[in-house]
Amino acid sequence: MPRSKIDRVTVAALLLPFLLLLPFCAALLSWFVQADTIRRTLLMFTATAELALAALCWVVQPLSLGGDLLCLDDMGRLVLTITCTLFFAAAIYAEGYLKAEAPGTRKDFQQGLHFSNAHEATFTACLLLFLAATVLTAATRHLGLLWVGIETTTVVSAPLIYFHRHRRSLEATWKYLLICSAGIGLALIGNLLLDISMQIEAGHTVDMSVSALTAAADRVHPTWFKAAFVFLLIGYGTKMGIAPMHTWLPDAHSEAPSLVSALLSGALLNCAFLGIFRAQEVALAAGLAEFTSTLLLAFGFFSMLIAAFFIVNLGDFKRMLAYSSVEHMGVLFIALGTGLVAGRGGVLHMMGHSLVKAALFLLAGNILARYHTKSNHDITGMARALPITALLWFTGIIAITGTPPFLVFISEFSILQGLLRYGLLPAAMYLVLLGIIFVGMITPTLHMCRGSIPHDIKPAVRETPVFVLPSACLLLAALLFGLYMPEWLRDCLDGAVSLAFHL
Amino acid sequence: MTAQFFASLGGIVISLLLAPLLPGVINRVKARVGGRKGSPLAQLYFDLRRLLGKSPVYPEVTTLFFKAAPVAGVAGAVAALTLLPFGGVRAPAAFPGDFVLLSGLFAMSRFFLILAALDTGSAFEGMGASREAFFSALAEPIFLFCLFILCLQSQQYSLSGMATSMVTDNWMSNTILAFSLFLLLLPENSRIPADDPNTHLELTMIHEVILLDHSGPDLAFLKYAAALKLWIFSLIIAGLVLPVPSTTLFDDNGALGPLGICGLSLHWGMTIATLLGISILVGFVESLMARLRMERVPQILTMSGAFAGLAALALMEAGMTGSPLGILIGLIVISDFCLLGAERLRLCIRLIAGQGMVLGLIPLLTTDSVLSVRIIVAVAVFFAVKAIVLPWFLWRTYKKLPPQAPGAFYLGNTACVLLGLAAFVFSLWLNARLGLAANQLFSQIFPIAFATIFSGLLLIISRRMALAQIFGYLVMENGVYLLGMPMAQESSIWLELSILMDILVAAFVMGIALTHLNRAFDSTDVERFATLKD
Repeated sequence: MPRSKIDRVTVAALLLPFLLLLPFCAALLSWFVQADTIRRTLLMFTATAELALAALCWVVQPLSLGGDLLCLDDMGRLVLTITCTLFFAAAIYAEGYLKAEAPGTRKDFQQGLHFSNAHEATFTACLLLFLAATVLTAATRHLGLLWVGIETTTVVSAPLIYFHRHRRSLEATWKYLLICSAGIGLALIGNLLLDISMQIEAGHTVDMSVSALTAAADRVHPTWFKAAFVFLLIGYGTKMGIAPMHTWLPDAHSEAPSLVSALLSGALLNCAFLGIFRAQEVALAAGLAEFTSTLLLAFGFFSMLIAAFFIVNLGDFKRMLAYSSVEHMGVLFIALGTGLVAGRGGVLHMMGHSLVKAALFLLAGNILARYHTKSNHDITGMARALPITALLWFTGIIAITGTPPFLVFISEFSILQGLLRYGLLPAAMYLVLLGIIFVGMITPTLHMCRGSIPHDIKPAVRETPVFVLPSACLLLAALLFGLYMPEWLRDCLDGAVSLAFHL
Repeated sequence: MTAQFFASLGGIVISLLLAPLLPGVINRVKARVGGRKGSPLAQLYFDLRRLLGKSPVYPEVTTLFFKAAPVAGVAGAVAALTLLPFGGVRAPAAFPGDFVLLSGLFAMSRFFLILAALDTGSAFEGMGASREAFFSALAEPIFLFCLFILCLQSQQYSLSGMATSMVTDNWMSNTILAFSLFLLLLPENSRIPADDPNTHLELTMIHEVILLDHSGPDLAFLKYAAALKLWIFSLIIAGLVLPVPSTTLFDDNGALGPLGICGLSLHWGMTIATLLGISILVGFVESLMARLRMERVPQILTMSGAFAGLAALALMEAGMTGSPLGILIGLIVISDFCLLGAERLRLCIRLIAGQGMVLGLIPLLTTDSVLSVRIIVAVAVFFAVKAIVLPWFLWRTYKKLPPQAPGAFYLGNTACVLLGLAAFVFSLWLNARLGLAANQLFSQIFPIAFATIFSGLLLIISRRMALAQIFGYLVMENGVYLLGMPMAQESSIWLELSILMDILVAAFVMGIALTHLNRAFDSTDVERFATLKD
């Protein structure tokens, strides 16, 4: 018995460093591996191991390192698990994807120009580094380190976006890099201002860890804190794709390879949200949640409005998914701004959106590979050309627009309940915007799935399991959690909610 | 007759004797940088002697005005010398408000010069006169403004106050003002990049064309007057950058003070060395820069005016005084505004390197604790990355890209400079309003950090060259770094270093993406990155 106890402690102590170092070392290794098969195995192995380690975090509470530097709280655990799950799904997809990607120069089907791919080794390495950076972001409660993690995700995901080196993806990369880097720079200013707001009153210095900040929050200088929060909101909001700083998001998410889009939308946006979540934690402790919630609600509604405005009749199904991400980030803001009355809605919504959106982006890759177009006007007869993908795609769109019994419905409903406490008008606005987006997304989907196959597309070929299985599993998870929520998940959600959601 | 009076006369004599040396120094530096041996340092003396020995030739159509110009030029310059303190000695003719007279004397000389040019009736000289009049109309108010700020510092409204009772801790203001005057010196003395004294090409000439018809002693006088003008400008700048001796050189009765003749000669030596240094600097500027197009000369003057305004603001802000830190902060402001005004990418890279160097030095002055090994290592890493690695990488990227036509702006550089000025005013106001006096270092650095961040953002949105957007990002991060400096603790060095690494990698990735973009688009004009839209 004592022996197993010691083992448990060792495991708990080593868990977080392992989670962080494994993808990092794998990335360095894959940079130098020449053989494609070995590199792909390495990717698969790392993804599996990370998922297993993340699962282990639910059994054994990992020990913190250096105070808040490496520390997994309930919110972090949730983000970490979502990230590892999505990465695992993406890694399976990547096995097939990288095999199918022919090396050498090819013709771009949209503009007719020739282009070549980036090196696969670089791609894999960046993918793994991206995982390491997101794990770091999830597993820290130190605002400085959090910033470093989020900025690193920007830097390492940029080469992922231009895996296909054609004009559009390069243009998207440039916008992404520049807008997000500048945005994150603003978040750094926000961090500094937060530091000032702590120092200016008593002249005492505070560690930038969330625990220390919340402990000292009663001595905070309100004006400076408000300024700091605005900078953090704009900075991380840019990375999250909150309107009006969202302009890079539809470009980057639609031009990246589909498995990268899935990770960007499902994992990366959560990380940026985590930045604002931590800031809200401090605001809550400082008693300034009223001010910050107003801001969150305003930006949230504006994002939904912009998404609803653009999503109708968009004509490009990947951009449609991207704008849907803008909408859902807005919903997350609204949930955080509404506070505890929205119940577990906010955190649950993050989970639901990640699962479903990642599945949808992976499926979008299948459609793109088959139809060679992103225009949803040109796509018909998916039910015949790609039966399984069509079924999953339809299910996914149904799920992401908040239709019961999927997870997104549960969360959006509880947010609606919370909004009703604020009055009828916000709730009505919320419902109308959701309705518009529902119509805007379901119309092209119906058009895509029904009808006959275009003449230039070969009739049915067998779909490879590698390309449909990950999405199917993700959607199944979204369905199952919507129907039944296990005790352990409920506890974790409650723990996460209690961190930053105000009364 | 006191010792002070004699000393001031001595200063004037030295000025009159040594002034023709400055153009010689400039030409020698230019020759050396260009790989030539160059003419003798005393070439202008030889020229003057040769010209004085000749008899003048006057065009038939000219009148008395034509002959008046050389005399007025030299007379104006000599009179100006009597108003200007030399090496810590009060000028013999100093009186409150004398700076207005100084500016007026220059205006008078120029007026006669323009009249003489018009007097010849030549279209060519008329054109030169018109250009001279146009540029001086822009330059004169700025010059007067600079002198006014100078006198404001001494609170005596006299140029001689600069020599005797200048408040020495306005280092930031002084640095910026000196730079402003240096920018003014170039067009006012017809130097590159505004004008080129060596070409006689009608497209480019401003000042030289007026002298074309003068000959013999008249020409000698005009050349001598030009040398004196350069001397006077340099003397004003030297007065700004040289520290005033802690004990006055003369007591109230005008007798020699405790420092004695040694202190006086030391100070004079330093002044003359500074004057030569300024000439060397002018020589380097002339060697490294191309002559600007005519329509861009007003932009130099705008920059000069902007810096004068900045100096005035820095002077008004009581908190922004202090030690060598003031100089470094002033240099950062200068680099910010030069970046906003710069058109060429290679100049921008140099400025970023310079800004990185200054930034790297600041922590050495701000840490109040003893310098530990950790701090020194951190400072070394910062210096290496910001001043060497990043500029080197930018330079490499710049070299890989095709040469670009300058002037691709969404927002012109003059507008950028003015906006930057507005941001600086705003940040000063913010600084005063937020009551940051609790942390003195912070209240000094905050306005500059804010202005730097704003300049970076402005660079990103105003430029069409993608590379310039990377510059903007780096400048913005420099500003953030500056903002965080007062709060830096030894325990958080690891965090700062990892932030630095992130920025470094971000710049690298941007540079690599840019080379790919260039390959795909055959251009790095962001105007062409417009395939993706809704």
